[in-house]
Amino acid sequence: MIRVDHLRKTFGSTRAVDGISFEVRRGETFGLLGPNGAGKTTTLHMLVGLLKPDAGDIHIDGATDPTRPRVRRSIGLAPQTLSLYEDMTATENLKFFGRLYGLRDGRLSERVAQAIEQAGLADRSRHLVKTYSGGMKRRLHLACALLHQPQVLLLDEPTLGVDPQARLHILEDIEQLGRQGRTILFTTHYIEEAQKLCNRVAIMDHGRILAMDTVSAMIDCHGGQAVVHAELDEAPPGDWSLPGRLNGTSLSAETDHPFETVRRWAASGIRIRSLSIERPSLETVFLRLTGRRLRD
Amino acid sequence: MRTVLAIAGKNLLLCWRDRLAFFWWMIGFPLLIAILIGTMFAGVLSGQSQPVLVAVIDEARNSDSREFIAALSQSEILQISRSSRDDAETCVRRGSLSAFVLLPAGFKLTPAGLLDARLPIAVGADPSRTAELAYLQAALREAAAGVIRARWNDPLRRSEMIDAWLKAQGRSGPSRSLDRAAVEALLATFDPRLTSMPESAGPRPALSNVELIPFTAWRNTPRSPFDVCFPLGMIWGLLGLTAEFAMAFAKERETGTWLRLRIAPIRRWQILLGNGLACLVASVGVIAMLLLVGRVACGVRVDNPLALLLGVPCVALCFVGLTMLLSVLGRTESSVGGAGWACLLVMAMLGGGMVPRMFMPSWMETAGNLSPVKWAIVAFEGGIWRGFSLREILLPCSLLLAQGLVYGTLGVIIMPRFKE
Repeated sequence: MIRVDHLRKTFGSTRAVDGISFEVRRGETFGLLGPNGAGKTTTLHMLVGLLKPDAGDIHIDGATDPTRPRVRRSIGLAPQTLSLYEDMTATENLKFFGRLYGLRDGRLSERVAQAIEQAGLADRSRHLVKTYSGGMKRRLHLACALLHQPQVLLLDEPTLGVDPQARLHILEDIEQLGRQGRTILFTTHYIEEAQKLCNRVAIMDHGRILAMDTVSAMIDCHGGQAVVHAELDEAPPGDWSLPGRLNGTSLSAETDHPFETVRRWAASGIRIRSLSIERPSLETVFLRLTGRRLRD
Repeated sequence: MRTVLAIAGKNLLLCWRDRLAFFWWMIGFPLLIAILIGTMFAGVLSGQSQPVLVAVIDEARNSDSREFIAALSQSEILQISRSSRDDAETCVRRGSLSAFVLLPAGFKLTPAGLLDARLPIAVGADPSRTAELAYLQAALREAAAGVIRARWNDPLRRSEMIDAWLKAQGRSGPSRSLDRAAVEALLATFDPRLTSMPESAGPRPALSNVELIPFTAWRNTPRSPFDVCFPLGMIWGLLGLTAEFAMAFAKERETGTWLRLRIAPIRRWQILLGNGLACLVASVGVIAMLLLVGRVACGVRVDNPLALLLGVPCVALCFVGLTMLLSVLGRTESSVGGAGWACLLVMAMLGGGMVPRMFMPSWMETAGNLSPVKWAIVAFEGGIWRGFSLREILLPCSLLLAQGLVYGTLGVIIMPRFKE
């Protein structure tokens, strides 16, 4: 559905996107992860034709020019910045954006009503947007992108700056859209969102894709071993010959088979007071690939 | 077209939602300007920095009229040109001259005439420039006195003058020396100007008034000062609206809704046309509203509705183009607001929207021809009270359209420099 080949974009001396290639299959939810300034938003803007790539090709549903109205009608973009008219009501915002996508009369009213219901704004639909909370604005923002029922959804940090309840609501919406067969490409730096929603993810930094696969394959490939940590009642006598490092009454081990390790520790007769197993996650992968240095 | 209408409707709705700003900047403030500053323009202000442009019509064609015109030409506060009455009336009506001076057949300057209540001179003046008229009256009196003074200082002509005066008083034949001495003393007492007093001898008494040709005798005339000052109010309404819309367009870019417009399946020209249409509708609405207030509350009448109908859209289109340009003078709403008002105030100043053009140095008045404010005032006045024919209104209209096109094109060219 979406194919990007060797896409490149430079702003002055900064190479924002550096020859990335990826494909998002029809009906797939694809996550583009990366720290701030990785090039995610620039990539999305090139996908919708807001920015012209310096090099590379973009294919969306077979079309190569995303500025063509037919292609744009098949895309719904929820930009990172809230894009709403604050002095208009939710209904007025939705009606206006619906008209831009060719919705008229009864069809428009029907879609607007559905979108308001879906966004949970039924009782506030006739209030000005400037009176809404951050979560309500973000839900309306997403509703505006979905109004014309696009096949391709591009969501740029869709849960940025919202409370946990609103975040959950938005994630459920995206999940439901995925189940409906929409092709979704979303950018985020909330790793658990990608882990929860995405069929596949790509981790991006400094304009390049560092890794791309399913979440589980990515963890298998880049996550490293599980860490088993135990606190003992007392230090075991004699030399420690089992797996793991012993430091006083603290015992830890990095292993591909954490349960087998625990079984062997228990069989040796040591008395374990507490036990934890940390399996590698997508966050581990993310930090391993992009580093722990602070980003602006 | 539905898309364009949707965008225009959205812009007008947003404008309506900010009603307080809308009514203040586009109705309240312009009304204040129309009533206060406009009234001042119509006759309160004084002082000058450049000559008053005056046409002289010599219907007398005698030695007195020639002497008088020569004296008038010496005036530092006037710039004299010779003209026929029809041409002079047209020029004053169009605003290219401040007034005309008519020396009627039989024009004669005598000391007795100076002592009368009125000089035998008529003046037709632009009623929106009555401050200049005061200068003109002073210059006319000075010129008349100058002619008489020159004659009085010539012994030969002085004698002729006294004879003529005595003749005018009903005496005939050679005068007795006693009479002559008495007359000379009397005339000298009446007006020290007629003696050979030095210029620095002190203030001179005022001379008689000149006849003002009533403007009502002309084909076109304002019925009240509001006919003159409401066009100015409408200009300020447009300036306020231009600034508001320019800031609204900048705000759209700043808040991200512009980005959503840009990714919609519409063309860039549709967005621009929608924005322009909203601005045009609002401009025409503001003009109509102010005219309505002027008509109902102040008795403003439209002398030539057809000319005004042609002029209003041209003025509005010019300001639409200007809005497009001003909206790209900065990246943020506040920077556009600041830069926009700065440009608009300069345009208003050069175009005669703040300071009467008569107070400007000539280079500034020439520069004012580049200001759309000047031509917008001409177009409004042409329709409201100057009685412009359709042909006459074409000049300001075409200049306004040309300026609007240039401004709009520049705005459209600069706009893509703002990255989404």
